[in-house]
Amino acid sequence: MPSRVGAGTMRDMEPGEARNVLTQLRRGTIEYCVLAVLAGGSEYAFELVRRLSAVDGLVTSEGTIYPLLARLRRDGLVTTTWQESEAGPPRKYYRLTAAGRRSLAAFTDEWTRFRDAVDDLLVPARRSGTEHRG
Amino acid sequence: MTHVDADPAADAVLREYLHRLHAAAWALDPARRDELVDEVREHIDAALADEPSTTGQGHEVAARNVLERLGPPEDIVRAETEDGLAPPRVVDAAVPAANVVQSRPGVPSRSRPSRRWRSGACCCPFSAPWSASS
Repeated sequence: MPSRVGAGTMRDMEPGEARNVLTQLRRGTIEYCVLAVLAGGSEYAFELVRRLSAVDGLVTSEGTIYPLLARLRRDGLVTTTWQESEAGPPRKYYRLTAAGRRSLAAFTDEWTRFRDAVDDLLVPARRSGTEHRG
Repeated sequence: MTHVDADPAADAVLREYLHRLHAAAWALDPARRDELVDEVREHIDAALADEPSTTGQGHEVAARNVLERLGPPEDIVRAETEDGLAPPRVVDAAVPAANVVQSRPGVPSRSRPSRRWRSGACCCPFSAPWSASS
């Protein structure tokens, strides 16, 4: 629960500080989220962006995904193909390369280990905090 | 594409946004700048088709909603020139644009926007009605 200014002596994390941590996490993980979405098959850029936007807090400005996609392409992690569209002009589709798949697999292992380790610390701490207050 | 292209106010809003994006991206490699503008234009087309069907003033509202989700053009370009989706770095914001370009590897050094841009010749890609691109 967010603390009110001057509400007590509890040293809660400031809301801005929490936001900053989330910004760092988002920055570090967004490219793998892109790769993860593409692991399911090639995707039209717009649909890809909207799927990422649907994840809470992951994408704040949809347009910034395009520079990221360009970088992933330069790094050889994704490729693009043009496909005809019934609704209008040809559309650019993105798909994973073998290197992209390897990169995603490696990060997924690291992330899972990291997440579990952090959870091991955070979750019991939250539980005991709740017990003390209750 | 299901959206109707008859609303001049919505067209003006969209064109102005692409102008801003094109202008903000002046320091990028010219081919990449054109590609980025095309990608965002394609996104806008798809997003407008996705918006609830609207007429008259609602059309302009739909356009503004789409642009709101895309985020400021300057943020998109910033994501292009930094690693991932970083928010503005203080050091970059404080340095004049020309210096940033010269210090960045991999981008042709262009200390000033070209004469072509200043003369307004670059308006051509956006001078047609919005419907021309969809």
